[in-house]
Amino acid sequence: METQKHRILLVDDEESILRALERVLRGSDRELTTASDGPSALDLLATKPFDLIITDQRMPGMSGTELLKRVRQLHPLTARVMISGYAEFESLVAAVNEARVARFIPKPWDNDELRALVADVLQDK
Amino acid sequence: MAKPHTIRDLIYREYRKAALAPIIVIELALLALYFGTTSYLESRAMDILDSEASRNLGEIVVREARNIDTEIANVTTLSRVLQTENTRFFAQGAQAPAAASPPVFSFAPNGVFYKVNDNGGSSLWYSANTPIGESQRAKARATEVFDPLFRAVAQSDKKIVAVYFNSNDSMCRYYPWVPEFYNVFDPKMDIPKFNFYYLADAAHDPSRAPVWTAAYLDPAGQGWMASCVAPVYRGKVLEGVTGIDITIDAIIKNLLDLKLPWGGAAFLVDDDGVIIAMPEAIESTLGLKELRAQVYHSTVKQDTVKPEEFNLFKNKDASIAGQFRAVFSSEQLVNDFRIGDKEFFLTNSHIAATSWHAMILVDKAIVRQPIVELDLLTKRFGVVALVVMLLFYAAFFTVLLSRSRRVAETLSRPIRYLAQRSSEIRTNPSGPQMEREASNVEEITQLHENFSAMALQLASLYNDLDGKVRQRTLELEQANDELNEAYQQMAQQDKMASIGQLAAGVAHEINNPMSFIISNIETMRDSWNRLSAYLQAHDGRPHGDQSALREQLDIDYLLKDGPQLFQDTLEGTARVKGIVGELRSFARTSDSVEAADLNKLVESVLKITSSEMKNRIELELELGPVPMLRCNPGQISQVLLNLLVNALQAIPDKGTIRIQTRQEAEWVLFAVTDTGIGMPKSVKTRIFEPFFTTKKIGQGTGLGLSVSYAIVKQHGGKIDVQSEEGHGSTFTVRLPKVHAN
Repeated sequence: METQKHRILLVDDEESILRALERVLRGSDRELTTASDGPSALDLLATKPFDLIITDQRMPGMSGTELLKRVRQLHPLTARVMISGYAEFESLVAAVNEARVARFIPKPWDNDELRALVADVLQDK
Repeated sequence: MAKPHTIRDLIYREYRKAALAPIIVIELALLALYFGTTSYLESRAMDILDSEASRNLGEIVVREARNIDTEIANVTTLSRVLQTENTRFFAQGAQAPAAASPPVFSFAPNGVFYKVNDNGGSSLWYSANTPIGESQRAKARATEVFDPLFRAVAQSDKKIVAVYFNSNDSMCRYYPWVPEFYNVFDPKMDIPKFNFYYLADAAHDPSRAPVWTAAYLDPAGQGWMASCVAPVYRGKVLEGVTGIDITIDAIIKNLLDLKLPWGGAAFLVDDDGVIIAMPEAIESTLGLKELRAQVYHSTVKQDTVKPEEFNLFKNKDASIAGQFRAVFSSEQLVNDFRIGDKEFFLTNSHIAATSWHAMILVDKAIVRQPIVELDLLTKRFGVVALVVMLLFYAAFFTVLLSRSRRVAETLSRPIRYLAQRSSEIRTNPSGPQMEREASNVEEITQLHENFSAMALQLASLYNDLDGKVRQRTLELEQANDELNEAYQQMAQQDKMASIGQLAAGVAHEINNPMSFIISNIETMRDSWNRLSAYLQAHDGRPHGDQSALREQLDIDYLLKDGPQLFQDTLEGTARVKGIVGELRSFARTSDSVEAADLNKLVESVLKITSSEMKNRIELELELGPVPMLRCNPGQISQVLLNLLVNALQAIPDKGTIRIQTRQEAEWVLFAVTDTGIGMPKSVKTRIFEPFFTTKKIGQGTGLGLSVSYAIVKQHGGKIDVQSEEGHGSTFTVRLPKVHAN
């Protein structure tokens, strides 16, 4: 049994999305942290290890792909999940090829599927 | 340019040029030739006549002079004989003649010593001034010896009236016998003082040849006389003169009565210019009135020398006097002479034996009269010919002009009609048709027919054309409508395409709120289920510790999060609604003109494009205070969107877009500046052309900027573009401010 709570970092420039994700992914065994952009996410990652980072693709300043690329280099143990609309096929390819994301979650997401996916990713931890 | 002529004018003019001018020129030339020739011939004839006349007159005057000379030459010879004999008498000394009947001398009552008896010899007269002594008586007696010779001489020639000897002491021996001779002369006459004496003295006649006196009228009434006198010297002493008186009446009568051609008149003048004989005609010509009738007689009584009135050199008319002097000094045979304004020929021939001159004066006008008359006649002919000609030409030109008028009328009437008709047709091609105009000119008839046919054709063509034009216009209008519609559609499609460019962004923009809305609603359902389960567990049970269940169901979090959950969800739906609203407002086609706030329009466009810009474009908004615009907001938004999409597409990776709004004098303007790739000049000049695009197929219609341009123009505004390749572009749109009215 896990003795330690799983740490999940949620990154999005929209508070509403962060709060919606929090509602879905809440759990007694999880510690949810939110960041509104890439740099602050990286800052948080530098303070403590996270099991999972879930980020939006489209954000001002630093895109999700870029952020995950950096996370992969700096924190390879943190599982990387990208949330994005289907339309952005190019960013999806980049996410897969460059950021080597673990999972890709399309928008809008299904809460159950999201939960199952996160649970699945965390299973490996 | 000069005013064009009418056909009638032209024809008139041509008639005049072709007919009138040459005829007049030729006729004038002929007239000039005619009058010129006659005038030349006249002058030539006059010259010939003049020279003929002068030659004739010369001959006549020379002949007359010679005649006179011949007539008196004999007398001169006799005079010489007398001179010789008398000289011999004085040389040999006085001898008493042996006369058959001795002379008897006595004193007359007037004191004159004279010969009383007629002894068949001469008369004798001694001036009362001369004291009669023995020598005088001896001389009177001795000179009786002259009488036979005197008689012989006197009888030798009919002309000889008298033969005489005048002594230096005023003795006059005079043959034939004159009874009462003492009464003939002034008793105290001093003979040497008289011309018939002194003309032969040493002073006047140094050569001692016989000399002729001027002619004179005989005081004794024997008519025109002249004396030939010769000096009789004894050594150097002039004893006296011997002379012969002849009547020259016959000679002069001959001369004066000469029937000369051209009404000429002959007259005699001596060397000193004194008139010897002159017919009345010439006297009056020279202004010497009735000299012969009145003055001659009275003057001769005083002296046989004629007074100055008879001297031509002293004529009252200085011109006449001068001309005579010139004629006498020149010795020329024929001279031109002028009295007043009349011209004369004056011939002058010296009579050899005497100091006389035979002269003839002829009026040139009379010489020339036949020519003048001929000339007058020719001129009269010429004038008559001219008048006849003028009459003829007057008639001719009257006919010509009436003919030309008729021809002009014949030609111009149908043409005028055509001109008038064609003017009418010009204003109304389908108007009433032409009437047939009859003309007897083939070409005009044909022209008329052709014109009629053409007018008909034209009218039918015009009507046809009118219909066709109407139809074409309709078609064109229709085509234009269609084109407009097509353009509208294209513009609309372009707008859609612009939105299409943003489809991903728009999708994202909607997708984002949708994703959390859906998630939140699922959460709500979940929460509902959990709250229901909690309430059911709570229902019908005694109040107890439900905290385990409460914690399990995370009820506290649900309650706490509830308001936020609903707020987020509602906000999400509002965002979706807003975006959809913006899209609809773009998509709609509206012609309505409304008041619009440019800054609001910018913000609204940015809502659609913001997600597209989110992670790569830095947006700089410089929205200044601008007045409300009167515009079609949809269209202005479309322009904004187009410019913004172009700016976005001009930036390949990351860059900056600046949007400015401000006012400037009469304009409200907005400018979109990008830091993109910019444009070369070749592109810049074409960007507003429809369908011009640098984008890949499917990325743009090429209508965006052309539509924008059209919209801005329609709003009375303008679009400017500044661009530098590699540095970006700025599009500036100016729209007119609307003044509050």
